[in-house]
Amino acid sequence: MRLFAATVVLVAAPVLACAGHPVPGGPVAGAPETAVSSPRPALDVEVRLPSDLAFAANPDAPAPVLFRHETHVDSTAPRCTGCHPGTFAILKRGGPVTHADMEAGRSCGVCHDGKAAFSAADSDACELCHQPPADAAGQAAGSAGGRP
Amino acid sequence: MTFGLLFDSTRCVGCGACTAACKEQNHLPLPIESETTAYTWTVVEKRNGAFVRRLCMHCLDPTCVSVCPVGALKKTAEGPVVYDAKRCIGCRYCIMACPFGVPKYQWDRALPVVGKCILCADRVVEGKATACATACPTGATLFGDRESLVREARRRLETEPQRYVDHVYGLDEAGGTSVLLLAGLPFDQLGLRTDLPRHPMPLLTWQVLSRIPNFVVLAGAFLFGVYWITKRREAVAEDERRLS
Repeated sequence: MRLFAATVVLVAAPVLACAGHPVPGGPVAGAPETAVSSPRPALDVEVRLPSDLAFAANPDAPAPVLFRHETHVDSTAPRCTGCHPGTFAILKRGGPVTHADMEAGRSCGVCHDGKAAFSAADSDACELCHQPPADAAGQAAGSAGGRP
Repeated sequence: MTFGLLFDSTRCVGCGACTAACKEQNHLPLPIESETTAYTWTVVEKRNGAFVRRLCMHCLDPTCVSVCPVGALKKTAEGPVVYDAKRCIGCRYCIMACPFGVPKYQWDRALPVVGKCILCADRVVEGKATACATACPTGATLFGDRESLVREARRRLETEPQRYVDHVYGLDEAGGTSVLLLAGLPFDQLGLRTDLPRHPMPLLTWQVLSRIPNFVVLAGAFLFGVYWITKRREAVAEDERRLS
């Protein structure tokens, strides 16, 4: 009987140890709010969004592209993690942006897929991004749409 | 000169740029988790309507460094508390010792190591600001030398007393930290400990450990004395037995 009990303990202990290994420690005390509550009122905080990013135009492109954070981000409640660093680097400028990437669901195509925002492959929407430099600053704010 | 961060909760809009920049700078895998883990070294939490960052506080006299038996954690002259995974034996004393609950373990790996904010030590040595402070679009996270940050924090408390709780968190918590916090709410409402001693926590164990060499010498001398007396008494008893 004692041999049986010892055997059970000897088998059960390593099994429990192995099972417990991947389980993190106990619950975290004082967890943050899970429900979204209204932000603190009257935050006199200036959000300095990064400057506009000019992309060199491909010879076949109708015009260069000027990316503006203002048209992609709610400056009163920005959510940088929607794009950074998963889709675009935040500390340095990324490589060239191509339509092939977008149509494969990468780069701008993560959002500009025709569902979350207009499709990057939509031939009727070229001018929403490709704008002559003189027009870009004035028109982009109202035309780019989409989400951050 | 020792560097640090000043985080002003009242200027934080919870955008997460600090978290994103940390991930990129330290080549940490996605996703961005909702609390700090071995792979997400800083997060922004929302508590009672205010945003507060979670990150290593980089204590001036860190408990994690004092308990590490292999010297895997080190407080550098520039301020960051850095971690050397090659030295780590996985004992997790640092996790138990940290008063802020910062170091996290890679529980999902067969050969895990610890993960925690290292205050972008490589950037700091090069004279650059940390990635989080560089990316912050509101200036809620400021990088600088600690003395200047303390002065700036006190200036803000003096010029806008209605905006802040009148305390610089980290000025003397656990003996002082390189990361300082300002907030518009009591710090306990932001999930920060307010019951920490004002002296460096390694002092607690040092008061005992520093006496151990003296204790060993005195105890050794005492035991040797007992041994010598016992042997002497046996020798005398033997001589008396032989003479009689």
